[in-house]
Amino acid sequence: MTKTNREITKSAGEHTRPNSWVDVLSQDVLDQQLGFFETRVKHPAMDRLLDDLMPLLTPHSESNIILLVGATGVGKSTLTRVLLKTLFERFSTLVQDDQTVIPLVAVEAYANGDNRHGFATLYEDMLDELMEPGQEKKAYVEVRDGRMVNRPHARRTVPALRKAVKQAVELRKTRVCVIDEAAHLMRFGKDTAVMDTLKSLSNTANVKWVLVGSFDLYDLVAEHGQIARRTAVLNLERYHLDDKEDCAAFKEVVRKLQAKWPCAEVPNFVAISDALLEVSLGCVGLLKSLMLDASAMQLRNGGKWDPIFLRKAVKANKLRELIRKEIEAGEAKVRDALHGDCLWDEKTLAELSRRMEPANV
Amino acid sequence: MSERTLFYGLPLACDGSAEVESLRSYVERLSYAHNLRPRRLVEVLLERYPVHGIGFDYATLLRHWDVHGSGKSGTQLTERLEKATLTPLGHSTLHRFAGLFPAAHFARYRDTAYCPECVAETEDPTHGRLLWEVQCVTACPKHRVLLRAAAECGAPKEERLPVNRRPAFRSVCSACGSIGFRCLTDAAIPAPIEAVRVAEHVGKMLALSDAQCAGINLASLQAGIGELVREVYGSRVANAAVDAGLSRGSVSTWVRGVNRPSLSQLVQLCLRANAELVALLAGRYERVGDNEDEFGVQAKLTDRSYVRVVMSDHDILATLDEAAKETDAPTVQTVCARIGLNPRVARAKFPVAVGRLVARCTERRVAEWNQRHEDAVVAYTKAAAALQERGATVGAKALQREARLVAFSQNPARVRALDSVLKKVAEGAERVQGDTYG
Repeated sequence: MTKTNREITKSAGEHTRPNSWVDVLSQDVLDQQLGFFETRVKHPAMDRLLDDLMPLLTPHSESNIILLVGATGVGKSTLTRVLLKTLFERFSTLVQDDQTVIPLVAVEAYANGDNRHGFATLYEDMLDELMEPGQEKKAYVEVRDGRMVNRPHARRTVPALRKAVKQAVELRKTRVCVIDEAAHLMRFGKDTAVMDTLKSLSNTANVKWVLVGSFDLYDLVAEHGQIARRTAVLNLERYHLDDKEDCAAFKEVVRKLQAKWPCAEVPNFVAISDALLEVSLGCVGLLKSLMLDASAMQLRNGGKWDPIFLRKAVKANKLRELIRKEIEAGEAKVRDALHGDCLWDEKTLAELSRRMEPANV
Repeated sequence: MSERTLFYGLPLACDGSAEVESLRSYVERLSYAHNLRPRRLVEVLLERYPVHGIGFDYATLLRHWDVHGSGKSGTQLTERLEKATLTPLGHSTLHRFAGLFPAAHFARYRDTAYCPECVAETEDPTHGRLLWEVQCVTACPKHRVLLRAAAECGAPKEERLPVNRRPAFRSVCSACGSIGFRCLTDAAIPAPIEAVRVAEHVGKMLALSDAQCAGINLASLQAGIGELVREVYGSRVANAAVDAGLSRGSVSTWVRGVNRPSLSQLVQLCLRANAELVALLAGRYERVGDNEDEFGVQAKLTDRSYVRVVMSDHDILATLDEAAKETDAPTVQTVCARIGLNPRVARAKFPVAVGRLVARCTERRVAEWNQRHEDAVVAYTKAAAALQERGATVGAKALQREARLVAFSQNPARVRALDSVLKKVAEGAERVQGDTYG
């Protein structure tokens, strides 16, 4: 018989729980937990995705819009951070050699409920990232019918801001623009309008647009062949319990996180890595959230571990089921649309490879 | 990321050629790229790189754009823009030649000019040439046509833009916004050969690289003029001066280093002696080529023309009298400029003839003023009638709007006409009211 939450809380309270939550909020504790929170673990699924992504970011690739999709909690935020760090290192020489360029721009598409101003806010954030001066007092010039006319009152319109972004990315020689939480873009307008906007920006400025978000992002390209031609979809895959390699890789992730455990008493999570894989649905982000919550409880408990913390940290069955269904629906949506999923199966590819072998070898 | 530049690193257009972009044009192009007004761009620039001490009035600078000559403001602006864009801008002004020529009559001030052919064929409407900013240049060396004043607009009044919507670019009419001044349909006027030669000489000077400019200074210029006088005029400086239409002592003072020649005077000397200007600056005399036949008359390039030395008092008097008889009698200044005479000298020597000319000129002006007043009265009266017909209130603003004639303070004829029409309308209304009550 399983214990109710109340019983669990009660039994946990029997331990050396401090009288007040404030008692444990010493700077050391906070620092320890912050250290664990900021731990980023690179894992094979992420490495594979980055390997696939980097060639697409070369300036002369035709895939200008790259969708990085993944299940919730699979580690997309970590992936974005790692990607930005990698790109920053890649562009470091360029940045040092020429102080006028800003090769990398990263913004987040906020969903603040005000859909009308969604693109305007996004463009303004991009202009901030591009260090555009005098943003509060812009004066756009309209060119029409062979005339140039100042538009002193048009400084906040979306077309004017888009023009400004276009100019800025061109003149700052921006190569890659990363938009996190890009699924929110769909709330800014119709799918076609959103993609057309991105396409026109990427066409004129030769910028690679990396959109990071949930599987819903795929809806943007699903019905537009012209846009699909310029788009590549990459999925940050989760780990599966029925795959031995996945289990081993997940165990390694658990080992790395365990090594950074914020308390002196370190539970052996590695031993239960398969169980952790199952409850976290193979998502590294969910695993980390789980361990973060458990560590917080242990810290609150004066650093003493109790297995009940793990149980409390795991997502409730109903919530987990909800997440699982959403993930599976998303995976089904992008199946056969991912980078590398092509017409040829393995057998055909082997045959093609055989025929492609150079004659003189 | 290490610190980035404040503005985009736009390169200076056509650097190293006669068509090198001017500093004003660069500021305007940069502000266009950043979607800022030039004034705002300069404000942002000075917020980041302030100018300490006095002497930099950017409001005046943006009104008159006197940045291309040897003034301090141009250098200060260039230095700050170079920091903000990491683009070398030394060639965008005439400052690198500042030690050679006096500041006066060097760069244009207020009145800007452009080549109608260049702006018509350019793809970049923001590109203005430094050559157009040099005061003695009146022609385009490429198209051999006269430069045109940028203040002229050929669009009808209703197409003119309100002040806050007017663009500020070298190749765009600021009054109506027409790209390439297409509002003016008149054909470009072919330039006299001497004006083209002047532009060519100055163009070559502007195209000089930093390395070529390194050896150029006042001493080298003196040496160059000295060599020219020796080679061409057998060391007779007075002959050189007279040949170039300059005062007899001028070339002598240049050679001795007492005075510096203005650019226009030096170019004039070069033209007469077929000397290469850039070689002269570097201290050498080099012939351009045998093109003396092209100059049928003595080149009149400088404001200070000494043609008058060959005119007798009788001829000057006759000229003044003839001018007084013209239908549209010109001003004394205009007539004096035609014959190269100082107006003060004319007034002192020929007071009666000048008085006659002034009287005729005043008479013409009064007639013009009265005509303007009458025209305005007619227009405002028509407008008042139209407003009354529609049952609208006849006020000063409504009247001006209806007549499409603004009565501003600098046009007293219109102001007076507006007042008189309003007065008449008020009197009419009172009369009607009186009749009704009566």
